Amino acid sequence: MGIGIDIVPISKVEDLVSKHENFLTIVFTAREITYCKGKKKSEEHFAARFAAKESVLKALGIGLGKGIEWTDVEILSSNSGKPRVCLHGELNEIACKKNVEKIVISFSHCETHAVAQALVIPKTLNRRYKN
Amino acid sequence: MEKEEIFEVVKEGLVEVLGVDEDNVTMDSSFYDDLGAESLDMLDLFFRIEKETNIRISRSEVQKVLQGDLSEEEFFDENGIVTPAGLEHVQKLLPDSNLTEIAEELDQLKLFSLFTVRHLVDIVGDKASKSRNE
Repeated sequence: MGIGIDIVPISKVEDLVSKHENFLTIVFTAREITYCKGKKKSEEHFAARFAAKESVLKALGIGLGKGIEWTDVEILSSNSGKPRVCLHGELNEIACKKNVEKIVISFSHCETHAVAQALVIPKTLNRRYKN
Repeated sequence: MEKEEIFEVVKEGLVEVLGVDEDNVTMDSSFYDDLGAESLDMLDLFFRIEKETNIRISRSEVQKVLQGDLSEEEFFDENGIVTPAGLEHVQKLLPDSNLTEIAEELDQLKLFSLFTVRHLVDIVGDKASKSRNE
């Protein structure tokens, strides 16, 4: 089992979005960009997703390894608003090798900061819960 | 592009991104421990370097320097701690540091705290010379 937490200043994300045109496409997937841009305070949603990506990497304990990109951690929202984590590429393969059953994520944001926490549940532990 | 020029670009970027005094930025400054940079600051710095040099740097490339040719499985054990083989590689990058003292707790986060300005200057320098030769 692994746990990760991260906090991000909203102003920093706002600054990066306005100054560097590639920031969004390097860090976020097309689905994440569409979702956040559809929200009233999009910078808060981008910041929350960035914090979520960091917390997932911390919980997995591997950081952005060789060949792993920011977009390999995708944070999606269900219709109910509950976020879920979708891993891609090399990162997904590493998670499979680490026997990750699922990753639970939670985040929150206000005018100044966004926070996120991720919990990695391994297959063995998940079986224990089910029993 | 010479290493001295790249260092000036990195230093200028760090002064703008972190608001640090330029006298505090040396080749041996570590981004996290000495300068207090967070991951968003590093992204900001990488974008600024790209604007000045046309060379794109990713965090993945930073990891490549720290990890060498070892795979994730060879570099980290099941608890996310750097393996003896990984430690040997990192020690070569930092010959003046005694890593054995922190070996048991050298995880991903601590590993990034060892990344210095010199490592970044080397990455940019290597990419610059490769693009010149292409």
